[in-house]
Amino acid sequence: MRRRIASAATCLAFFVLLRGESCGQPVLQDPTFRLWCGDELCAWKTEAGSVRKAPTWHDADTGVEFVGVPARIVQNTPSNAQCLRFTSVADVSPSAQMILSIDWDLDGTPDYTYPVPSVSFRQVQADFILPPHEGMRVVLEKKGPGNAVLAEIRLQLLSASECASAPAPLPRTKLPLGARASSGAECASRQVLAATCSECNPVVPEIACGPGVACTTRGVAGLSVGFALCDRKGARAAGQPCGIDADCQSGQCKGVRSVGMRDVPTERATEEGDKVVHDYQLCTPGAGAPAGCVPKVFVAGTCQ
Amino acid sequence: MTTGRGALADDATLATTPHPRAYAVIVGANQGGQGQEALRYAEDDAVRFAAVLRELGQHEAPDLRVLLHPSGRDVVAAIDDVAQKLRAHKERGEQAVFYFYYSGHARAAALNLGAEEVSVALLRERLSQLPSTLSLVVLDACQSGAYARAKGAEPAADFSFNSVAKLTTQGAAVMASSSAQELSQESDELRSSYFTHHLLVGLRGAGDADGDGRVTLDEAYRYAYRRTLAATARTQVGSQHVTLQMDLAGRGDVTLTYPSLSRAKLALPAALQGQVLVTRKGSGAIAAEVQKVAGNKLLLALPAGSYEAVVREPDAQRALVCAAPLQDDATYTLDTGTCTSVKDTPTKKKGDESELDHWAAEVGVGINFNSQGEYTDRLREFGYDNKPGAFDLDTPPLRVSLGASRAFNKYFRTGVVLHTLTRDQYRRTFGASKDEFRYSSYGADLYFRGDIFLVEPVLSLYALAGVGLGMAPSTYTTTVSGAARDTSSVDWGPLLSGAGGVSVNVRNAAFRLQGGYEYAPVLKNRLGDVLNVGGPSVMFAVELRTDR
Repeated sequence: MRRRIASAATCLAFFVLLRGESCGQPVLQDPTFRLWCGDELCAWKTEAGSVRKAPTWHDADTGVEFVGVPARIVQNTPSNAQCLRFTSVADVSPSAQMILSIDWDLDGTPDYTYPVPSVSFRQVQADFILPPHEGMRVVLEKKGPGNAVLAEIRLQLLSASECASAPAPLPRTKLPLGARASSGAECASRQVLAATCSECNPVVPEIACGPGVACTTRGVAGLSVGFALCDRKGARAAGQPCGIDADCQSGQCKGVRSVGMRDVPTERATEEGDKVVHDYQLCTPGAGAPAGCVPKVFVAGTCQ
Repeated sequence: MTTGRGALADDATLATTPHPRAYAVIVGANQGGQGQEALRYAEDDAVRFAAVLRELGQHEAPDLRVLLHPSGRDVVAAIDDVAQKLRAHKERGEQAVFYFYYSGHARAAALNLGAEEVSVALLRERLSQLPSTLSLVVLDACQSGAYARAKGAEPAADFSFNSVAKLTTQGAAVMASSSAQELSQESDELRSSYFTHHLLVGLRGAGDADGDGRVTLDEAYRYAYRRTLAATARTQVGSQHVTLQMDLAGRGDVTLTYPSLSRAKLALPAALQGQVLVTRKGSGAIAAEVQKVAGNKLLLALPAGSYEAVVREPDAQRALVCAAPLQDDATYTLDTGTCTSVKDTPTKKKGDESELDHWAAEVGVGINFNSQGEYTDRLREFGYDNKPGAFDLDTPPLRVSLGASRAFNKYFRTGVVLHTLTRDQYRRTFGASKDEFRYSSYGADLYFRGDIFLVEPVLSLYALAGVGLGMAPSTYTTTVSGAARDTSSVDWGPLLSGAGGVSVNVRNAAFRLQGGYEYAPVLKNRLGDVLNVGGPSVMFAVELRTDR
């Protein structure tokens, strides 16, 4: 009983920290592939190949079959959950090479991959810890010609106690300013401010920037946490990190990466009637950004 | 049908014929010694024997001493008491007769009266010293044994034969229920021992071969011998030959009863031929069973009351059912012209249990316990869960059964039963998606059951094994945002069952408490997983039988 209370307390702490996500709550929409909008899954976007309904243990309990090579479906989620349990129930032949990948820095490349084991509708679970992030892009891809039917793909937030036994994330180094990090050791700047690689702390700017140099935050409107750098009044030389053009001697700051996500609730016609599906689209924050575009990533560029 | 008074012309003569004073010690003891199962009808037989002597033997009730489940000392004391009276008669030069009747358990050298024994040697000594004109000893003795109990009869070893040899004395006759190497038997149908029943029927007039209105010792013996042999020939215990040894040279016929002097009589007309079964209305007790031959009128002396006679004429395909209301001081003559004809059914032979009509219907209620296995494991892997069966009111683990059976004999029975098997409900919820899988299952068994009696016929242990067919209708319901869609199917499969329990038998009903296990691999999914929809069960059942 005491253990359950403790577990609930740690889960509650995570809940508060992670702004609304509760333990056990599924991170993905339609984890059992029930919502079909015609020949497409309503909550997943088919990026390659095609998908179709397929029976699982019961004719009426259907999953999704991946057709073609490659066949890939994607779902974006605003979740910032770090400690996750991946659960799959799938019928995957070895030659199917089914891969789950997660892109948490939203740069279009997978940051974490997990090969879905070749089993015949058996439940497979794996716990893993992600580094700090804002939102994720979850990709399921069949890379081989074999058969792959997924009955369920679930990502659930774990409590801290459950997370203790999960494998630690691989150590990272030399992350750019603005990258989300667990500690300063992961950052090229060796400093972290609010889980974001930064050069300095605005409260005590003189420690990192020296006397008389301000520590200024760079970001975009609506970004919860930007990065801080020493404001050298346009004195940054070529090759040094920057947030805006004015930071550079050349007046050109290139490579700043700013990614946002916006929820586009869409009423779609499903077999069970019209349903509202949340389509989390990636967007570019700032001037001219579509309405509802919430900045998720703002990573420093380089002075030219 | 004719009703008249003084049906025989010489009744008056018979009534005035002097007959010697008779004394009797009549002993009935159901309880045997150690290791002997209790008899059911020995004490009743003793009472009936006394009643016949009183009603038809023209004997005074005080002279007939009936001892039910007595001690050995009681028996010896009663004989000694009679011996004093007989001595008094002898001193006065009067004739006197002594009857000793015993119905109960016995071993080869002794009568078993509960925990006590009365040795044959002692009995012989006492009887041989009696100063009676005639001593008639009737022994209907049984000895228990597992073999005979299993066949539903009460066996006696060779007690009767040995007893005859040891007891025969000058001026005495000994009639015994069986010969050497034979077993004496009781009949649940007759509610009596075969021997005593037929002896009494004979004494009531069926044994009056010459139609003179009297039944002599020889007539009674011949009748009892013939009918007991016929009745026991088809039993599984085997034939029973009544024995009689007499040393009555020079004394002539010994009259035991005077049926024609009975106040109420049933007359079977001379022309009537066939088997006549007379039963008491209401109780159904068999009063007489007679194989009537044409040519002589037969008079049966019975207590007044309502009777029913079933007449089966030779080669007839139908039986005649006749009412026979007997009144005191009247003779009722059976007239087959007034009888009701009914379709013939196979004749029930007394004691032939293989032909007993033991149909039974049963209804039961209980609990099924769900089995777990690869099928339910798979459901859980898919995220489904169920409530423990006993607490899920949507799928209560109720077991209901309905069946019919027929007995080969009282130990073995076969039947068909329809019953519910397990049922359960599994649910899964993901956000707005709710899935539910619900199944119920049913079985039909052909079973064979064997009973072992602990206290016959009241308490028995039994075991049964069955084979049959199981079916499991199931429904899968998926609900997304309130919109539900059902998919139903039915699976079939084999069913094997085994069970055991205890049965309490009261009259035509049996109350059974049963535990069992059923293997019914019926429910199958697309992946080849199979669910045994059987499993353990406990049940209370009531069985209603058509037999007595």
